[in-house]
Amino acid sequence: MIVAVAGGKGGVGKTTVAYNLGAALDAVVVDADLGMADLPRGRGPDLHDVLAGRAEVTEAIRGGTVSLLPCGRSLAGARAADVRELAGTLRRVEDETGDVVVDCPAGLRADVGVPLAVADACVLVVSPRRFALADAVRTRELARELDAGLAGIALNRTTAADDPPVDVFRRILGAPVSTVPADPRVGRSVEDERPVVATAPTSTAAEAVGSLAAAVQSCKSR
Amino acid sequence: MDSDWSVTSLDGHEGVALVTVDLRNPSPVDRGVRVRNRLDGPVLPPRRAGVPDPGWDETGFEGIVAADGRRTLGYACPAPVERPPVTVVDEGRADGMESDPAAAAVRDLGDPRPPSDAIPGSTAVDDGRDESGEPTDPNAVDGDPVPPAVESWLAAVEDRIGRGERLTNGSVEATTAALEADDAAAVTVLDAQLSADAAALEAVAERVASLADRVAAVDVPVEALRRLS
Repeated sequence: MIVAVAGGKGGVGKTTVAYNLGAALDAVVVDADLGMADLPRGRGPDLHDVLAGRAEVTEAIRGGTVSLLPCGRSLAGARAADVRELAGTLRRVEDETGDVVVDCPAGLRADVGVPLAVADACVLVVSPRRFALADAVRTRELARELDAGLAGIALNRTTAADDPPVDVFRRILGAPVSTVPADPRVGRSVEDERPVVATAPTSTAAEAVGSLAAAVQSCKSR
Repeated sequence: MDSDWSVTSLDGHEGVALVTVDLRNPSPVDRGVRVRNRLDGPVLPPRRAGVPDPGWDETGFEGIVAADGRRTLGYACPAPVERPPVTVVDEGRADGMESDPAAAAVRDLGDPRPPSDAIPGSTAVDDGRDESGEPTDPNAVDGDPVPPAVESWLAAVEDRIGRGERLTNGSVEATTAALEADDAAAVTVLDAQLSADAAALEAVAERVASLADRVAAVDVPVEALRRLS
């Protein structure tokens, strides 16, 4: 199963959610942000090399607490990468390893559209502010057009002061909402390569990630 | 299915034909149609964001004309004009056609790649690839008999020798000016580089002379080998 983690707006925590969701689903997390990669890169070939035909998918996947297919960070690499190859690449990752979580870039260009087009389901990451809704709705519309069912919504980095409008998001976007609190362990998880479901399995954040993963799993069995 | 076509050659390019095909479906059902190019060249289909519109391939177009509808197609072909340029085949009642959703996403949403002139050290024309997308060989000999890598090395050496000469033989003013531009440490570095350049040039000259001797002695017996194979 291929799950696209998208959100339209930048900086809402798509990478963090994708990484932790990947850990909860025991999936490979692909950093599809071809222009501004976030996941730890390490050495060796990356997604740019795969998309430019310089490396095989299996060479580029990096083991670890969560398996990653990282992406290069150079403009030249982004220029050489052919986004149309992304569809085939994601399917090959799925064939080789099983479930795939795709960390989509911000915006609504083809580098979001291609993962959504091949994904079986998508997860929207939104900020718990009302102004974030417009971007989320646009991304949901794109996902609907491209046949990626909306499995769940991560209302990311909520604080008690926010009084997150969970009902509004659920009603307008039409999918179960998981509220991920602003827990510093979540914020650090990508950099430290320690997903919150492993380091703090009883925390509220881990529960939220778990409920998101359960929502994704339920799409799979349907 | 009724169809009309026209073919003209592109202004100023005798070898490029522009073809338009007008398809009309007078029947009350959607009908599939196959338009096959008869010109002596590949079809250059209409593209958006670098992706051909749906239905186009190297040989022509395949698609649907709606009931009581009309569809106009156009493409270019790098070939001389011939008439007729296409054959139109009515494929009967249409029942939905699959398209590649990834290609559709790129076409509709636009290519996300950064523009080539945003990349340091490259120009819009030369991004290290030729037109077919293959990486170009940095040592390729193209018109100029000296390969670019050798040429750039020789130019760098020539530049250093020039600076050395200005410091060695120049007038007082010229030397002072040169020394103002380069401080004493740079002069020491330049001296070391020039010694290294001298050694390198000598080694290259020997290698070049021996290779030139060898290549002069080589005479591949093309004809004899062709008879053998």
